[in-house]
Amino acid sequence: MTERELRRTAVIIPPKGRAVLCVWAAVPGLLAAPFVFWQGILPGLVFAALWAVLVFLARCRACSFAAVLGARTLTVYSGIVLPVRQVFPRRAVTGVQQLRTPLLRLAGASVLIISAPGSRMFLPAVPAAQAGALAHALAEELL
Amino acid sequence: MTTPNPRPSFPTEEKHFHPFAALRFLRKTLAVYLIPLVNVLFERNWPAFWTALRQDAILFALLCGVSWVILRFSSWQLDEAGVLHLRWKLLFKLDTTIRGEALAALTLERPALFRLGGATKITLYPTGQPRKHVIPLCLRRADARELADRLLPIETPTLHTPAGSERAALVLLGANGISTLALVALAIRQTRQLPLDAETLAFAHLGHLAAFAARWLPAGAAWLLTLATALFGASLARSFAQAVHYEVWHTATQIGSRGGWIDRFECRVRSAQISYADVRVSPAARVLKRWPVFVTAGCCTPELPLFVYRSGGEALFRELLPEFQMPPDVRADTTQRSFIFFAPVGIPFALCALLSLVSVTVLPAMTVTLLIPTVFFFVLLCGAVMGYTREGIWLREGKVTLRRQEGVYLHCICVFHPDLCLMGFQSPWAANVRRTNLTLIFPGQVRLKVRSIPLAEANAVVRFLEQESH
Repeated sequence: MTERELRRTAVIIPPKGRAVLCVWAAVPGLLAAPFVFWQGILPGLVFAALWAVLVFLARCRACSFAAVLGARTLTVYSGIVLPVRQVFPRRAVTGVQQLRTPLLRLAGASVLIISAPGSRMFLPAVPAAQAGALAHALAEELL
Repeated sequence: MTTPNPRPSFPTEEKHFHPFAALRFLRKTLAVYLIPLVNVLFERNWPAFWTALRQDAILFALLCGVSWVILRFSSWQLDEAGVLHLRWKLLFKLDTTIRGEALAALTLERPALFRLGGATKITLYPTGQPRKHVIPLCLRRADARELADRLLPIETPTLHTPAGSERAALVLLGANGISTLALVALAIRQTRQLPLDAETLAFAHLGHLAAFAARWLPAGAAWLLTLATALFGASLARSFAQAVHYEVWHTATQIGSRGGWIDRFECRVRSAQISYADVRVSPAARVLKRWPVFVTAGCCTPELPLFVYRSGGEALFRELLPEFQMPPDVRADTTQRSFIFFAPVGIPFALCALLSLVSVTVLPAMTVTLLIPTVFFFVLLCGAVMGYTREGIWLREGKVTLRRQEGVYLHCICVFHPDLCLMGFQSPWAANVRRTNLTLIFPGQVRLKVRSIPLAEANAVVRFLEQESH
């Protein structure tokens, strides 16, 4: 994928990527659940329901995620009820890290961590091909 | 100021830090041997006290030994390219390299104790790094001067020394604003002629002030005012001591200031790394019609203004920061603007006002005492009104300018650094009325938030970043 192709479309999290994020969000709940169920069935069920809502919210947020590469900036939109927009000038990027776990590899996705002097941006579970192209495009600014 | 001659580029020999460098380590361990001592002291168990004292002496000797090891096995060196190497050589070797070009700013501090010991604390601010990554070093005076001149050399500086009035303004503007208000209140109520010299007043004996205030206020309120005045005095004295011998300079590549009477300081900022300049409008500044300008580079935010200019005398301003643009002097669009500006001070103000009203009938003796926090929060509420009507972000002649309120201060800011990141956040209510909070993120993790601005203005800034060419 070339930079021109990347700039024609927004990078979103595909369904498989969203599933991976939901699994990640569910893991702490699954680990904590036995201890809560130990206290009683009712607290356990309430905890499970709350955690399920949390995972659902994470999925909704993942659905609303979009990263747009411009000529000079990278803009990330996320959130429906509490929308957040982050804008990074491409020239401010000081480092790009690409993370792939076995689960992400199965889903054909990657996590991109983009660093700038003042802050850091996470692009979770975006398609691997687009993540690679994005990392390449941003890395060119580093040279 | 003595202009340093351009020094030849030669490597220095490997040198150790000043023994005062160990003070940082010893200071952190102070609690370890003081807490047991305080415990037995309060119990008045004298045999245990002497035992604790002996243990502390041994512990102190041990920590001194550790400090000696730290000093012995750590060193610094400048190579022929002017690159600073910091080394640690015990058990493992660690070599940290710092280039002068990678610095946004450096400061040299010589507190009274350090001056007596011939030491200087030099703090290096690497470009883009947050405050936790600054590098403080304690060196001998001459070494620190040499290091500063090699890392950020001052070449053919243009000097400006503040005149008497400007210095006075520096003193006043650096002083604590709240204490200033307390002193003004005291002055208004006074029944006899007081010395007009603020410094004399501030330095006057605390008991005299308390006695004076007690003439017309209940004891609690009088002490509150006395404490505020004492704080003002301390703040004034500190500002005065910092403003003595104060001078500011600029070269083609950097801008800096130095001064101080008891505690000396010097600050050198690389012009290209200045994140933003801030003209801080305070009530005192409005009265004096002198505007202090603060400069931030990376995470280096000096406590003192870089310089102060007066209305109509912007020549110095134009000379030092030629690209500075003031935010337009307009009222912000307040249509459906969030009332979040008023929440932090409005609630305590309402509570204090309510208590004051109740106390008029229930406990009249407390009314005046309660009026003090009421007035205090009322002043802050006036500040919030100022923020509500004035806060905003604008584009002016290729620069992002913004105005934001903090307490009774109004910050007029011009952004210089091109590596500006933005973060917009909308609550559901803000989204409904097409408004947003916009956070500007600068290198060094310095953040400035502009609250509840129209979405169109935020979009204009984003478009500006997209179109901007450097």
